[in-house]
Amino acid sequence: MNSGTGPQSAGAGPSRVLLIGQADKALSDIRNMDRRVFEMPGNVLDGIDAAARHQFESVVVVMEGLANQLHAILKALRKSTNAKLVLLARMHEEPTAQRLTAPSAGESKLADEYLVSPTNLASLHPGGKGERVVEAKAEPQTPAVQSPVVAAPSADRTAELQRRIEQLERLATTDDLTGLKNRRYLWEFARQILERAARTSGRVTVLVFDIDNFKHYNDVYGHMTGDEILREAATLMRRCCRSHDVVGRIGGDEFAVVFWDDPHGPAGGPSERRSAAAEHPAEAITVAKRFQQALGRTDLHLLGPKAEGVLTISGGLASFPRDGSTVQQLVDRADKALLEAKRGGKNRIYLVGEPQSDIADIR
Amino acid sequence: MTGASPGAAPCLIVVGDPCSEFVRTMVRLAREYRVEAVSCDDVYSAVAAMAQAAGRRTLVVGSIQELAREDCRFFRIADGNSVRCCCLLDRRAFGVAGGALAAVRAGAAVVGEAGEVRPILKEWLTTGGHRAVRRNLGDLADEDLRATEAELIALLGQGTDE
Repeated sequence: MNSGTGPQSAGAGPSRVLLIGQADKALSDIRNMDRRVFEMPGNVLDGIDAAARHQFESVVVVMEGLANQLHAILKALRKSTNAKLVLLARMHEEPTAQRLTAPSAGESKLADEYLVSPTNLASLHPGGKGERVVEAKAEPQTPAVQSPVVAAPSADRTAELQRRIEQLERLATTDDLTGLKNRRYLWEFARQILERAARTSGRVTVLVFDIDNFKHYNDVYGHMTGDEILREAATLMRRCCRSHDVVGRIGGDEFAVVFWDDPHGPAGGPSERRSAAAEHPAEAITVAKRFQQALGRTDLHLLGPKAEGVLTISGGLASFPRDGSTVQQLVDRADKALLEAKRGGKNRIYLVGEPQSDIADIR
Repeated sequence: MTGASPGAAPCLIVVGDPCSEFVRTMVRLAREYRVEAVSCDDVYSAVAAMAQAAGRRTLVVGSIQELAREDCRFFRIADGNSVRCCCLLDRRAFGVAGGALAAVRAGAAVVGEAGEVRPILKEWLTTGGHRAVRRNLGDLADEDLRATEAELIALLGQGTDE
C-alpha cells in the first residue's frame, strides 16, 4: 500500500470493510468509525488499489458524486476483489442501485447489494456476523465482569436482527396493499431528486392519477374487488414505467409517479428525451399513454364478463422547473390538473398550465 | 514500495479505448517485444490491473487525460509500487499541463506521439526501468535531464533544436 493519504492499516489489522467515496456525507456516525475495522482511502483510486491488494469482507461504494465514474469503478472492483460489493445510495439513487444489483437480462451484475443512506456504520455489517463488535471493544474479560452490552451477539442473533431491521425498513417505505412505495417515501424521494435537479438543471415530472369511478366499484363489487383493482393498476403502472421512475400509492385510489433523468440511464441526454412541443419530458407522457392503453386492454373478471376496457384513470402532470420547484407546488398543480381532467369527462391526463389538453392529443 | 521479482515476466498495461489506434499500436508493440499486454478501458481498471501484476515488472502506457483523472493520483500509486508510467500527451487537448507535470514529478515519461513509446519500452526492458521521483535538481543525472527536456518539449509542443 502506498503511504501518504492512503489507508494506513490495510492488510495489517483486522480491517473488514473498505469504504470508497464520500462516506462522511453518507454515514451518520462516521465519527465513531473504528479505523481498525473500517478503512476510508482519500481517493477512489487508492480504494481500488487497496481492494485489489488486501482482503476485505465488504467493499462499500458511496454513490454520491460518482455519477459518471460509477460503472468504471465497479467494473474495476469486480475484477480486483472477491469481497462483497455494497452500494450506499441516496434515495434518488436507489433505482440505479437496484439496477446495478439486480440487472435485467444481458446486463452484468456490478454490485451485490445496496443500502440507502444516510445510514449508520451498524448497517455495514461485515459478513453479517457481528464479530467486529468484539474487535472494536476487545478487552480481557473474566466471567464476573462480562456485560450483556459488551458481549458479542451470536451470528444467528445478528442475522435475525438485521433481517428484522430490513423488514422494518420495508414496512416503513412500502404500501402494504400494492407493494408500491408509500407516500412518505415518494415525497422524500421527490424532494431529494428536485434538489439534485436544481443543481444539475435536470428535469422532474410528477404524475398524479386516480381510478375513475373507484367508489362505485367499491360500493357495487365490495372492498375485496376494490383492493384487486388497486393492485392491478399498481402492477400495470410499475410495468409501464422505466426502471428508475418511482411509483407510489399516495392515498385511497390515488397514485403518483416521479419521472426523472437518471444520469446512469441508457444513452440519450435529457434534451433528447424531451418533447420540443411540450414542456414536459416526453417519456413521462409516453409512459402515461402506455399505462392508459394497458389499462384499456385489461380484462378485470371481477367486474363482470365484459370488463375489458372498463377501468380508466384520470391524471395530471406537473413538471419541474416550469410548474413549480418544490414537491408541494408540483403535487398541488398536478392535483389541480387531475381535477380538471375529471371535470373534462374522465379517462384523460391533463398537463398543468394547459387545461383541456389531454396527453392523448400530443403526438 | 514493492519491487518486482527477478525473472517475473514483464507486463505492459495499456490504458484507453481498446478500439483506438493508440491501444492497438501499443498491443502490437508489446507483441513485438514479447511482453504480455493487458488492455484496460480506464484508469480505474488500470489500478486493478497494476495490483494484479504485483511482483512483475510493469509499464503502464496511456493518455495523460485518462491517467491524470482523480487528481493525478494514479501516478503516485504507480510510483509507490515501482511501476513505470509512460503518458501520451495530446497537445490539442485542453487542461493537460497539470496532469503532465504531475506525471513528470512522479517519474513518468511523457511522450508526444505513440512512436516515442518504443525507445521507452526498450529502455525499460533492458534496464528494469523504474526511475526515482525527482524531488530536487540535485537528484537529476544527465540522462534524467535529457529525458526531462524531451518531456518538457513534448509538454510545451515545441520542436527540438536538432
